[in-house]
Amino acid sequence: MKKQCQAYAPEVLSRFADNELDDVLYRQIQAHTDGCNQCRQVIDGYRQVSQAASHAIASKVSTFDTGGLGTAVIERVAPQKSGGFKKVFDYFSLKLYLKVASVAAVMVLGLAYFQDTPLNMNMREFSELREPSAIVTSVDARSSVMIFETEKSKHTVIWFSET
Amino acid sequence: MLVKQYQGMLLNIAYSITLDREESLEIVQDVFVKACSGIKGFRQDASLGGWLRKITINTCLNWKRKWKRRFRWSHDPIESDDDWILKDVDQSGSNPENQYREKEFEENIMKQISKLPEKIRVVFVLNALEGMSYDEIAEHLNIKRGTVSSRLHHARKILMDSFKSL
Amino acid sequence: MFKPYLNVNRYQISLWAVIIICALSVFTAGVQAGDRVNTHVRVIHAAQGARHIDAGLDDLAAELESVFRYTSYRLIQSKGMMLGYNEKGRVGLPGKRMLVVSPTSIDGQRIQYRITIHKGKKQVFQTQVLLKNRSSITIGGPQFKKGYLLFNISGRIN
Ligand SMILES: [Zn+2]
Repeated sequence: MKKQCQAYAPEVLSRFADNELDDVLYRQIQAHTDGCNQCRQVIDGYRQVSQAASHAIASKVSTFDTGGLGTAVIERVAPQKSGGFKKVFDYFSLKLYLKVASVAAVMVLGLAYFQDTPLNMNMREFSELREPSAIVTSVDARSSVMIFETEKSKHTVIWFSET
Repeated sequence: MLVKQYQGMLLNIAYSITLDREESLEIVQDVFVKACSGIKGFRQDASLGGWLRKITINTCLNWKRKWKRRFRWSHDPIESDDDWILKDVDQSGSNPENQYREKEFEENIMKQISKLPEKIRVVFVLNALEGMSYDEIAEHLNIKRGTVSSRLHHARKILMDSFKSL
Repeated sequence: MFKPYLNVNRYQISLWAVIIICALSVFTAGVQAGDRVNTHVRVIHAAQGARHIDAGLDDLAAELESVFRYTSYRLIQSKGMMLGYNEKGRVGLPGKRMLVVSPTSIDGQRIQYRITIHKGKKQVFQTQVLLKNRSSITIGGPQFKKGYLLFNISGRIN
């Protein structure tokens, strides 16, 4: 087996894998890994081991029976002053409102197109075709964001500016 | 719903720290109760998810039955309820053999994660599960950024070595 | 396992329980334990110049060309992941960026995803979308090498 490349300490490569280096060192290592398979494999390995762990934990937790969690929380919270509780509800209804609003928007769009529906296409097929590929329920960027969809297959595109 | 929306994320964190199903369910239940009573004072500018995450981490680390947890894990490296493996393999049998291997692999990783010392494991899972930055982890756990870096690397090294030897 | 407090009015409890159970049944859109969402991320470099479309982008390029002025589309990374609910899939991107995608629930025939983009230690973008099953969304914007990076994210559940 070939000797491991010693150019950078493993801990530095681990930080590289997490984007936790200053720009200068980051670029140095990036340039180095273009030519050094060993270091690249170490970095990939670090990323993979984190991803695999996260995968395994989520997989394990998804088998838990969480059915009683919601009600148990309610039972413990409800007897207290309802002030805190109401706030939780406000938060949900806002979310619901967003959902309803986006569904409504899709329906309005659908209706607008309905007038030109070819007769041989049933309404369900038609509305499926006209629905955007993704409904954006929230978006947040540092400056401007545009959301649009392509003419033909209603493919949703979000364009944001990074700075 | 608040509970439904965040329970997955919080359970992942709680379980990966406590390594105990019952404990993590109790902790997450507790966190939601705390959250519901404290939500009035919640700052609108901070993220609700981040805030819940923080309470969860603190609750896990201060959870009283640590001794029991350690005891259990040093004597019984992985939970004995192996029925979940079979249960999942039965589901949607697209390729049972692959699914079985995948489960086996996941169980193996869990076993290795559970062997990590808690201090190291906590840093590792916060990074792996939540993608928290070193600064964020340092702040949550009240340790130095350099300590985060070295513990994280330590965890990765141990895990990778254990896979090589499989 | 759970420990309801017993020092309260039973009627109050049951009233709240009824309200909540109703609310839960409305809001929880069957996230089944053990489910995985097949998530595929393609990282594309779009630029102007000589016309070029990488193999593997044929399906998408026609769509993109109908809205963008770019003429060159190169696939710089393609990554498939089986993600559990709330599991975060990470894709390292050029220029110290990282895309994090996580399915959070199922809403009818749509998969709810939370998608964030980080540059260095800062989060520069986040969104929550309801993606039609077996369909995709394209997110673009970061400048890279005289062009722009686009991320095409598709999701599939059985
Ligand atoms: Zn090297």
